[in-house]
Amino acid sequence: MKKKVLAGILAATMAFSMAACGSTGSSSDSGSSAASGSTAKTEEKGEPYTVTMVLQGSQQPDEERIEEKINEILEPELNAKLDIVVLPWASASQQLQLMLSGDEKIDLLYTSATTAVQYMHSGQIMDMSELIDKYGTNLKDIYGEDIAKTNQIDGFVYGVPNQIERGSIPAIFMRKDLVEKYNINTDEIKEPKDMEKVFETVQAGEPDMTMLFSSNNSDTPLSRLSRADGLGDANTGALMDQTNSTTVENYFASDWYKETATMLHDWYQKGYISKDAGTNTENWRTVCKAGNLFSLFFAYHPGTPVEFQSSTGYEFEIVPFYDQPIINSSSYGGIIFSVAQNSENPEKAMQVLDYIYGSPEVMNLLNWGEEGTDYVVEDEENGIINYPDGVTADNAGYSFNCGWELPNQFIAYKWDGSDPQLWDKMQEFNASGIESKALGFVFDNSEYADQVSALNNVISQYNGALSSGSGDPEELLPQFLEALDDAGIDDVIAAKQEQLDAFLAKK
Amino acid sequence: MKKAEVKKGKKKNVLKEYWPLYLMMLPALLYLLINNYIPMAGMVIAFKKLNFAKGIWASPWAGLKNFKFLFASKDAWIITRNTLLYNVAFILVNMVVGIAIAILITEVRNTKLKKIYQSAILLPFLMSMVILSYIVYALLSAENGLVNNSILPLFHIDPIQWYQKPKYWPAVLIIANCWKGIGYGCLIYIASLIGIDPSFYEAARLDGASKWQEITKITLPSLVPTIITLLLLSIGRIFYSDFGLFYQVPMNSGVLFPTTNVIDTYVYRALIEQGNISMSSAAGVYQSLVGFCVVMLSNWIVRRVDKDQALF
Amino acid sequence: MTNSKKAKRFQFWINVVLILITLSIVLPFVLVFISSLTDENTLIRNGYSFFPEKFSFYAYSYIIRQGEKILRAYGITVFVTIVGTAANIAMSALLAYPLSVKKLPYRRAITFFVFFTMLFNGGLVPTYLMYVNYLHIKNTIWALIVPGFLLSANNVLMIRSYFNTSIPDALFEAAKIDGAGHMKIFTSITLPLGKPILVTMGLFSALGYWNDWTNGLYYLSGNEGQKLYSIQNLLNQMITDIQYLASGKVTGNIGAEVAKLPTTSIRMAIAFIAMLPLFIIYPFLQKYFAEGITLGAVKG
Repeated sequence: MKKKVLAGILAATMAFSMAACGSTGSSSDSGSSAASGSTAKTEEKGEPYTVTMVLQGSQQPDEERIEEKINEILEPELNAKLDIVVLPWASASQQLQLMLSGDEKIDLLYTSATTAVQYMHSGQIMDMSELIDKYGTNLKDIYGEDIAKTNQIDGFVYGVPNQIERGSIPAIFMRKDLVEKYNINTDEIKEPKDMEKVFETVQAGEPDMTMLFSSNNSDTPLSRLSRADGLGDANTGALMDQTNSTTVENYFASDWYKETATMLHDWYQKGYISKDAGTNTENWRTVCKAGNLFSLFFAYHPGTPVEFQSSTGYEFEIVPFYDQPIINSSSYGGIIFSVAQNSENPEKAMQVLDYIYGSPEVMNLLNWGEEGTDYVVEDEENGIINYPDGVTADNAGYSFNCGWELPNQFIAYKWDGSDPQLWDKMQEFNASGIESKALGFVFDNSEYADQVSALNNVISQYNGALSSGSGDPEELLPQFLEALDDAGIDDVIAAKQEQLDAFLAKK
Repeated sequence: MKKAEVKKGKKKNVLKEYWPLYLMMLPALLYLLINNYIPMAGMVIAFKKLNFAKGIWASPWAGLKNFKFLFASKDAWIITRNTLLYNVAFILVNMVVGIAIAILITEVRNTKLKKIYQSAILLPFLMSMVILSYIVYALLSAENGLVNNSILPLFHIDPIQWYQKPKYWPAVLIIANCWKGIGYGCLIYIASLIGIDPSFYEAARLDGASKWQEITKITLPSLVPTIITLLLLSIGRIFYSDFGLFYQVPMNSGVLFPTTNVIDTYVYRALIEQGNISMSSAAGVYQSLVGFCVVMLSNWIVRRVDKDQALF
Repeated sequence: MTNSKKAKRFQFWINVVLILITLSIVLPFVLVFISSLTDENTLIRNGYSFFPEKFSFYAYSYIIRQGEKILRAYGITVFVTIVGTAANIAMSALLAYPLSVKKLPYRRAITFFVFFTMLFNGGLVPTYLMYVNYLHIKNTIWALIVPGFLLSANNVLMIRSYFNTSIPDALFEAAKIDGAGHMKIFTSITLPLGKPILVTMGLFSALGYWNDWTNGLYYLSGNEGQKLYSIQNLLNQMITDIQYLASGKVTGNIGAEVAKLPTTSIRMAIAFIAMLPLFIIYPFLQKYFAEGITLGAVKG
């Protein structure tokens, strides 16, 4: 009989423990008792609410010092405090998933649309639409209401976009010293296949060099050239000409895919692409730094020229293949902030988030630390800063240096060496973009989990080889397409088309 | 799990004799309860459409829907076959090589050398799969690999694109796995060999037995209990595989999938984007269930042959 | 005479075989070490090699610059390994011995209870909820010790099997006749004679703790958690940080500084540094092996 008692206790413990995950966690742990209700702007009285914001990056030794500085601003303004939790790059997604599964206190989190949709389906984040209506003043100022709420499925807003570049232009990046050495006329390069002649010339003079960077992970030359819109997942069905057409097609069966894969494989056989391309997982910058890479296909935006030069030590000649970027849903969904279901005070969280979008002071504190201690302003007019004397990357107390990950880098300082007009150029670039017809649409694949999981496997089996150039399309492409058919790509494409049509009809 | 508790309620004299034993087991059993049994209730996730806003228990039931993706695709057969065959090969190869090396090491007279061998065999345990994948890459890479650049030219064989040819990978993976994991079994076999009563050998030598006879007639039979225990323990994991070995060592090369894709890598690739906890939980339940059935069957067979050798 | 000649030849050949095996194990480690000392650009251009064109100590000097952090992480790893292994072995032996007593009522059921944990588990999320929501071990040192590694059913069953088969029943019978209780038998017969397997399993447990970075990954986060990072957690994080920085998402001159970091050789140096202390304590462990051997020999 004791068996039963024990079993009963077990079941009860379990039921209790599992049920409790639903309710939002324990009480706030804001330990401070500093009364601050005196300021005029404070609407409510009582303890300031501590907003926990989860970011990814390198842990900063002086995090607490900066939080105090930020709180000096936030407390009088909003009766709130900010607690940032920085998760390490490699484990961030896993840790975040666990933290959102437990009853840990999280208010704001940095994520991407793909992940946020998953969180949404598991009930781990909140619908932000009402919060944006009420507290999203700065957000609406910056983006307008439509874009502020563009990350949504069926009216559930799962996140708000960060200020970064919108879209990018496929381009060829060539080492400038070699372009000059071999007198290459860049005006003659109009499309990717024009590179063949260039490679021929350069390789003749530099037989030990790799002409074009290629790898097997997401960063393949083919993917860098693509102008298709996968509508929120791994290109199972895509708009091949997103600014003009709204027909969802099989991306891998398109002529463009076949032609590009064939071209790359041809280059692979001619030795322009490394024989190890199919297994290369090395970042192109690492390869470039070693000095034997001539060129790569990459996405161009105003930040790239300076950034590439500083990270590789080489200057690049850049030839974009198109004039403008395309702005589609993923342009606004790459980096977003969401409000966690576990938040005890979503209103406050939203207020703080929106405040950061409009506050250069908080943005600078978050990204660069404290003026005088962590950085000094070098050029007030252009907003350029640098380390104070005696501070270096090794001993800096706070240098988060991930502006793109924070709400609004466009209002913050730029580090020494950046393009002085970077933010203006970026805004201009963003404004020049042409909108996709499907802007604002994100495919909800939750009903097609079986097909999607099978398709993901098929794609990882064939796409790496084909889009890196190491696989022969003559042989592999027919197998690939057949495997996609078997995995049910048509179901997914049909569902995508149906959802898209419904979306367009509402628009 | 309830049975562990029943111990308290037996006849008085049994309790009187054995209570110290039950007391000894208590800390470990409590730990298993907390670390394993209570979280085990979480397997229910596999049958739910998980929604944390509602809580795990209150989430709607999904029946067997979360399991469907494991069987829906054509790859289901390939990954099941690969998982099973690799595990069988790993178990057999590691057993034979492990026993052979263990016997060789115990035969060594020079104690200094003996210690060196014993330590060396454990070294690969210290190496992570990622580093092992670099070593394999250093050997097999197409442009800079040691095998293509130095070894094959000796035999006038053309360079081989190792990472493009699935047919070589069963051998590569079996060797890599053996290299990395051999220390475990080997050390256990050595521990058992030490336990063999030396008087058996003395008697055999008096009878004029050869070394080979000593090994086959005395050494191997005394290892049988260890072999069976190790075997039964590894059979339970027959549907699982070392993710790092199958994902990192082949460098995630898609062309190699026909011989490198196993259930764990399939599930990983299937769910990497969706991050669906219910579906990955379903995969775990499926793997455990198969392992459970195979183990119960094997244990039953062992029990019928020799009751003392059975695991339980 | 022929017999001893034969024996000598036998010794010669098994040593040849074992030396070859040892080389096949040691050489890859040498390669890792040499790669960690190879100039990054040479490594990218020429691949891994035993005889690199150009050496560089940059990887190590970069790691050593982290100084104090590394020492603390080593300290935590050592503490966790010692405490964890001691608890693991104590609990395993205490569980394995009763399970080896053939007359123990419910022995089979309890063995099954133990074995079952090898087959089924609740998965990461439920385990995490148990430890974080109920036992509150997040960001404490217990997070590195308790979850998962404190007891392995596999080790318990191996130990039990050894107790069962390698310790002669006659010894137990004799002790019983002398009036020894279970505790007495356990401490005076089972433990000393079980030393070979206990040392072996303890070693595996220690290696498990030493190499583990998953517990740190799941249960330590933020500034508070980072103070408790074990060496594996720290090194792991260093690798990913470097990879990340090298991927070019940082701006301005900081990027230029970062661009100099050798990603590949640092990975190798880090792997080497994680293993280093184990090389140092190996001789110490060997002593235990040797002891096990003599004990085994004396026993009969």
